[in-house]
Amino acid sequence: MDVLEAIYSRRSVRKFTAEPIPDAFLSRVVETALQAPSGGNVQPWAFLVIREPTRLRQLRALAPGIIGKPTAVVAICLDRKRATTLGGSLDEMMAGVDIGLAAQNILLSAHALGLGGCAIASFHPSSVKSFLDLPEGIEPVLLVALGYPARLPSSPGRRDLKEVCFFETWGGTEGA
Amino acid sequence: MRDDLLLLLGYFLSSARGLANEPKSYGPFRLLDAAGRLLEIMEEHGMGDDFTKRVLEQIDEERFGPSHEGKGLELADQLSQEFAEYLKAKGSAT
Repeated sequence: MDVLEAIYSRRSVRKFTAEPIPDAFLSRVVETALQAPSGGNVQPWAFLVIREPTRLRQLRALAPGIIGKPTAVVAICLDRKRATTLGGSLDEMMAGVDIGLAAQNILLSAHALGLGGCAIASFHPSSVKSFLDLPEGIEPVLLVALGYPARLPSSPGRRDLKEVCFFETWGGTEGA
Repeated sequence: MRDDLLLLLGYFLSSARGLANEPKSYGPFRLLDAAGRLLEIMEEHGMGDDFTKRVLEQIDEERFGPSHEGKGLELADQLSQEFAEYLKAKGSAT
């Protein structure tokens, strides 16, 4: 699967089969997150992979955005100390951007490996931090639910290019 | 079953806090998802029937389909109406 095909065919998958994901696949998708661009190469991220079924069921109770029953969840966390010491005055904003880019790499590589995934921000942050025993300064920002798709949704539709992209000047359509 | 219900309790509590900062449409969706989670527990513990199975199937269409199809309110109306008919049919057996 090439990059363009992966981008256009990826969907947010919320329903998964019970088939476990091989550890090699989980390591691979997190490795791709490490290849994401990062402002100042700060790499203000840390990842926790949850695979154990009971912990996944419990995490689902603290994270309403986990709709189905994934067989793994990657918690993408902000390493606050790294962000603040290396990131400069834009640390918080840039860290959020970096984490979003890392999440996209996870979703695309998971898709390329035949998995499905969904990035989730709907969770109770302090409860999830406590449940996962995250150390001081490590904050959960996104949860990525992963598994083999039991159902692939159709495209939710996207805004038209001409509605959101202009050329040279705001409203310019030359080239669109 | 107690463990399943406790996890559902956690879902209610975490949703209650999260909804304050989420899009308005997430409110009906969360409650439909909660209904789906409750129906799953009923199915797993042999407490379902044809009606609850049908309701779960319809909720699954909403929660596992494309994001923001916006059919949540329509589905809630429809399922509430069907539930009223279900209660009437069951009479005093509920």
